[in-house]
Amino acid sequence: MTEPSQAPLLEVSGLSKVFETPAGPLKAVNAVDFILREGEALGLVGESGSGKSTIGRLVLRLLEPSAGAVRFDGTDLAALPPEAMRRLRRDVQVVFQDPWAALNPRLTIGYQIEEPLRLHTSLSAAERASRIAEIVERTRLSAALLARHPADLSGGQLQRACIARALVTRPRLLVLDEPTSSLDLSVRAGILELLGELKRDLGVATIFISHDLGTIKLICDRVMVLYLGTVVETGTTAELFAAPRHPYTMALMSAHLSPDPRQRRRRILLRGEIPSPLNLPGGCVFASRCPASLEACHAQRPPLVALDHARSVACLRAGDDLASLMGAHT
Amino acid sequence: MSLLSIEDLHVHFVGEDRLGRPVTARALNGVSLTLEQGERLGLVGETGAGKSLTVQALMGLLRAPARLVRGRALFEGVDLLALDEAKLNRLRGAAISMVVQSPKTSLDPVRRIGDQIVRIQQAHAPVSRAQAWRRAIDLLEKVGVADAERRAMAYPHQFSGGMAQRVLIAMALANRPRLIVADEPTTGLDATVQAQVLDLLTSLVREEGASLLVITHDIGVVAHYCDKVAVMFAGVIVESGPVEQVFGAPAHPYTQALLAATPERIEAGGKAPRAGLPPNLRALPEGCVYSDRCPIADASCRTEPPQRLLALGHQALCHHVAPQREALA
Amino acid sequence: MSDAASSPPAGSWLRTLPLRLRVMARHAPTAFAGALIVGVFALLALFAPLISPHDPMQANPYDVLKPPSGQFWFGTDGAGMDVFSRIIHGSCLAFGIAVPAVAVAMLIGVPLGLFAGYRGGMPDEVLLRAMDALRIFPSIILALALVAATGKSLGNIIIVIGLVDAPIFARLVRAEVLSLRHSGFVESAVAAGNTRWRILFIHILPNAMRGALAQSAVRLAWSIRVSATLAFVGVGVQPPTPEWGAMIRQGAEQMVTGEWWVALFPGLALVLLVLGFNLLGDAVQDWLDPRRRTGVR
Repeated sequence: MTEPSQAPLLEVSGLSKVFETPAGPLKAVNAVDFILREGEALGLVGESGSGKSTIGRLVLRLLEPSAGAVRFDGTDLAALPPEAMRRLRRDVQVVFQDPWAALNPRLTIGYQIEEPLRLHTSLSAAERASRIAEIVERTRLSAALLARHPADLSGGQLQRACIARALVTRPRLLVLDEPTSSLDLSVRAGILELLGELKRDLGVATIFISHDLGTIKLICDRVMVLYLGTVVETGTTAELFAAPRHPYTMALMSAHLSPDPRQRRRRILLRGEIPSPLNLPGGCVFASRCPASLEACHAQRPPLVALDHARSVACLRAGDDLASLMGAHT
Repeated sequence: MSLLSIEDLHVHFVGEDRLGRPVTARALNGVSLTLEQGERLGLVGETGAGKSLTVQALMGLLRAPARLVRGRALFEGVDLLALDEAKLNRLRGAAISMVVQSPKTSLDPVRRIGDQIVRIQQAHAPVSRAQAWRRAIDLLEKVGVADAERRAMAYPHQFSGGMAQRVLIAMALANRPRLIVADEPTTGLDATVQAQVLDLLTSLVREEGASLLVITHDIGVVAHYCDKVAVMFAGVIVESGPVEQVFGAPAHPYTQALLAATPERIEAGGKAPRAGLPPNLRALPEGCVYSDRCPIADASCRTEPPQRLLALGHQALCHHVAPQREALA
Repeated sequence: MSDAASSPPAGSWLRTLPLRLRVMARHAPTAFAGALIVGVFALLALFAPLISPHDPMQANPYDVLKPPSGQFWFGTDGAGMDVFSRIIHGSCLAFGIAVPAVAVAMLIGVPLGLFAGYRGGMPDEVLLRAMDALRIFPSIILALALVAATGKSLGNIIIVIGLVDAPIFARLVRAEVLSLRHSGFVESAVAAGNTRWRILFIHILPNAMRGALAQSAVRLAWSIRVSATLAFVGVGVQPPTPEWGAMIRQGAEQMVTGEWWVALFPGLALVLLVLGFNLLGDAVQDWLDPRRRTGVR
């Protein structure tokens, strides 16, 4: 685990995104704050509508934030003119969920891995070729595939190509948006092993977006749990998984199905389903489904309160013995 | 007699390549499995394993270019594969019902939810509309649809994904089936909703004394909601048995690889890359279908692997299953 | 890699061509017929001076309105010119007008559609309304009026036909761009740091051409028809240039007096080539339709 010593590489504050829809404003992300240090891996976990992918796109400025700042190495990306932002993309790269869609079907794999080098560096053709050879070996992509088009590759190979493309400029921040969700289990394992290895060897700071707790636990140093565009809990991976403090984190963990049939689950049954982000409840966003909710929870939104140096929870009852209140049974 | 017994099912896809040469993809290569009354069986595998195709064959839903080559599927002693369309229709939706992956597209968008549950009852039994409607409300309450009287009047688009899946479960239960086939019933649902739906499905199945066949790629679903598991690879069931035994002591190299690939069991930055390509059904290896990517394959794997009994009900299709476990049986 | 065994190695395209053609003839007979017709006319056009037995523009007062014979296969017209030779040279003109006209249509329509689809908003709205307005006029009438107004030179005819046909390409490209704009690989291209220019021309455009290319054979057929129509009503290519429409027009006068061959043969040639392009166009559209491209996996 990385020791929090240096100044943060990424500092996100008050980040919000409202989408104007025909049905009214949709609040996808509500005043999210977080920091990311050099070499650190932060996991964003949540279900659909949690805003985790939107946060990723806001950080990458593929979407314009409605409010807030995204400070990368001191520069506010949200306020950067387009051309300066484009040049900065050398340092901020991304791997998306669907490798079948993420590559241009008409260009060769080799060209697409090389493209960021052409865009951001003045390396000679020979230097580019050696950089590509290096990254191709690192991502364990067969060099023979470079001349192929995306349609000739399997999902796992495509995702390795996407990772190679994202890393070829040696970025300082990498956003991984559900990079393994659309892959088969055994393919996924290979990609996860690769990502773990890259994290160890390259030390690039990572935002890892996933709905899968098992994957998050494997890759991330810290975790941020999101529900309806709001951070409900954040902490180091080890502590958060050992002792979740927010009722939603508890429920999410109890809903995770481990592959071990002997591992008994603490079942926390939630009422109903995730409300529509089109009309967010006034109080705590989770109150409508929370087994431990009080009157007060519906009235006011609980702030994210630091419990210790690493853990913050947004729950009025964070001090109570929630585990027994949640009606967890085995 | 088992409730369902699939015996040596072979399905091929027959077509032509770009140059007009005939091509055969061997999608199912001798699938055999049995399901007893009241059992919950998970059929698990990755892309190209043939899980869904097995169900399609079973339900009489195979369409060209898929071709049934041979095999039987005995349901209460009757071969489903030999039945004509009319007889099959009498079974489907009644004695055998199905819960599919995409609830939104499986419901008729222009018909009220309640009416759809009424119709499926009236299709199989001479019940009055009032009677069927009452049962529809009962069923909706049973699957946890709050305010069922009013919601029965609603249309599918007014339901969320999780709610629509509950409606499909209600429809599947409407005619008191003895076998429920659930094809990826919770894929696409959120984790907390998935748990709700699976809890509901399995408890209702137990209540009704029906059997459940769950098709899934999710190891966790099988681990926590099934009694037995059958692991598929390239159209073959390579290992099957009670969940605790198969997951606790996987014998077949593919099962071992599959379980080792779950995030819970892999080490970050570990080991060599895995052979992650889906099987090429047009060019399967001789003998064992897994032999071209198996770490312990040798010359003997060029021949058909034997079905090895490892413990009561636990069997694996492999030349090299651990000998001490074999002795145990 | 799993599919590598089934796809022929690169470079063998020419070697497997006869086999491919046989497969095509068996599985897509209409496409094969279309390709055959267009191919034959293309060869005629290419080698017209070598094939045609007579000079197509050589008037011969001694051989006026001769019926088809061993000397004049398709007979002669009112000026004594050989109809067969004129049809062969006419195919040269048919391609010579249609191909550049469709090129002009694409040159105008594709960038318009690309720009409108990518920018969205006002420019898109303006383009859509302008195209709707153009659609009020039947395109043949529009072409007729434009040629009449600008002059009957070959260049004008080509430009006018291309101009009238451009909205079709603009629409097709715009529709593709609209869906591509939010596609995964375009988002990836933005995230990788591509300039707007590169995103448009390297990532979007090559993928947006499918519909336009699929339509091009059908548009060639249409252009041939329009140029013949223009010539027939007298605003297109002028006699004695061997243009099929103009030849039909001349022959129409002889039809009543019994010299049927003057109009019939150019008419048949016109019908045949238009049919060929249409058959080919249908086949190309089918082939490019993603839903059709599901073979055995």
